[in-house]
Amino acid sequence: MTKRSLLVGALLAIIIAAAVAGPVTGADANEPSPPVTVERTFVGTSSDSQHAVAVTVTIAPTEQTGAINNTVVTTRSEEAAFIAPSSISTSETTGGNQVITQRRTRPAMFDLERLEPGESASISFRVYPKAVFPSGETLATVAIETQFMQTKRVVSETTAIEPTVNASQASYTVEPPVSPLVSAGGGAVFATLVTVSAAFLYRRRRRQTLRGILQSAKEQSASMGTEQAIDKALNRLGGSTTTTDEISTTTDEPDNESPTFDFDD
Amino acid sequence: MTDCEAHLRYGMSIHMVLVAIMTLGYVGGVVHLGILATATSTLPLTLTGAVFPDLDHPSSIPYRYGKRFLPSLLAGVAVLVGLRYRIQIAAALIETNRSGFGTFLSGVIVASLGWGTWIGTYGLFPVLRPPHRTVTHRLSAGVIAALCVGAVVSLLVGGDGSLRPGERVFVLGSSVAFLLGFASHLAADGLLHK
Repeated sequence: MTKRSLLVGALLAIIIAAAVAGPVTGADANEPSPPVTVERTFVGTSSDSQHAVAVTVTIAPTEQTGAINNTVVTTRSEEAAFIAPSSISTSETTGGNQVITQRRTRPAMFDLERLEPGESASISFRVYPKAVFPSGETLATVAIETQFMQTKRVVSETTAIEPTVNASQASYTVEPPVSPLVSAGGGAVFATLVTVSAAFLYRRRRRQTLRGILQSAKEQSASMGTEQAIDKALNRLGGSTTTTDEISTTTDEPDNESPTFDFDD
Repeated sequence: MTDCEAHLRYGMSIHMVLVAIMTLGYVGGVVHLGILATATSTLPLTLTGAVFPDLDHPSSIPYRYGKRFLPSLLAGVAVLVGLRYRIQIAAALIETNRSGFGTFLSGVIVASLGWGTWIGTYGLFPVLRPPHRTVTHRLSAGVIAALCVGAVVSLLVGGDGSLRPGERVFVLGSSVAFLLGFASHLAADGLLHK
């Protein structure tokens, strides 16, 4: 490859890059913002209430902006939070027609048809932080893209949803009495203990029943070999090798073997 | 009867055919690169499908390994799914994800899910084993098992109630890979057309 072709290639690349980037940067300079307001309210004002950020996105074109069309609102939750699908609700316009259509996608997207000045539509949902109250983290974003009818310009704007709680409201959430991790871990340990105890009791009961059957068979055994085999089985089962009647009085003896959930025995 | 290694070879072969078709599609511009990647990465599921039907034979390797490891594996999957949805579980229980009792209950539920799956699989796996070459050697059983695999994968990769297009492809690819492996087993046993 010659120097000239390299130069031509580089020039072409610069021209293409300028052609692609030029209109975008030019548009950014005079970009009008969509007629949208995003209200954020922290709804946890006590330790037993819901601790979420209630978000209301209101799209209301004015006389200045003129009518808007083809509006798409995208709500996206970040890793630190999730949007409860059941909390999503939409409002109707002045005329009573449902102009907001929710797409069955993730993240949740909403489509609005033409909105005239004076009309308004709103979308409400709740964002639940996943962890102990995050400090300054973005919980979710609301992206709006719309087209002004007069100029046919398509504009977009993204608003971040952050915790909007003051220190006094958050005091109990910043330092909760028990952290979620400890609380959930406690629950898991509790369930594990219950399960292990139930399995231990079940296994012990099964062994007692089997021991009783073997004792009964031993008493009725005709040959020495059978009796020895039963003794061997009883020894393997552990515990007392007394007769069936005596078994009931020895049920509280501790079983030295650790529970292994051996359901086959 | 075809042995386990032969079934794995059949599974590997059919997966290579699948990858080759996807590669041709990608080169031809019909298939997206993500689909090709999905098809390539689902080899373990094809191999699992290829040995799955022999879970009904008490002396087969899948049954012996399945009896030993399947309870722990399924319990692990159940715990993973539970952990993934722990916040939603806590929020659904007492309408908030911040109260200590909600997270405590979610911990109880996730752990119970894991233990329940382990005990249930351990206890029921040998009991529910059907006779060899009956129910598990039918294509309809393969379709149902593949759908179950897809359901588990979607629970693992999915999020807030819906799947992204890429996730949907992966779930579908997992099901198809498992079904292909299953079909290869039936083909090796000469039971595909029965």
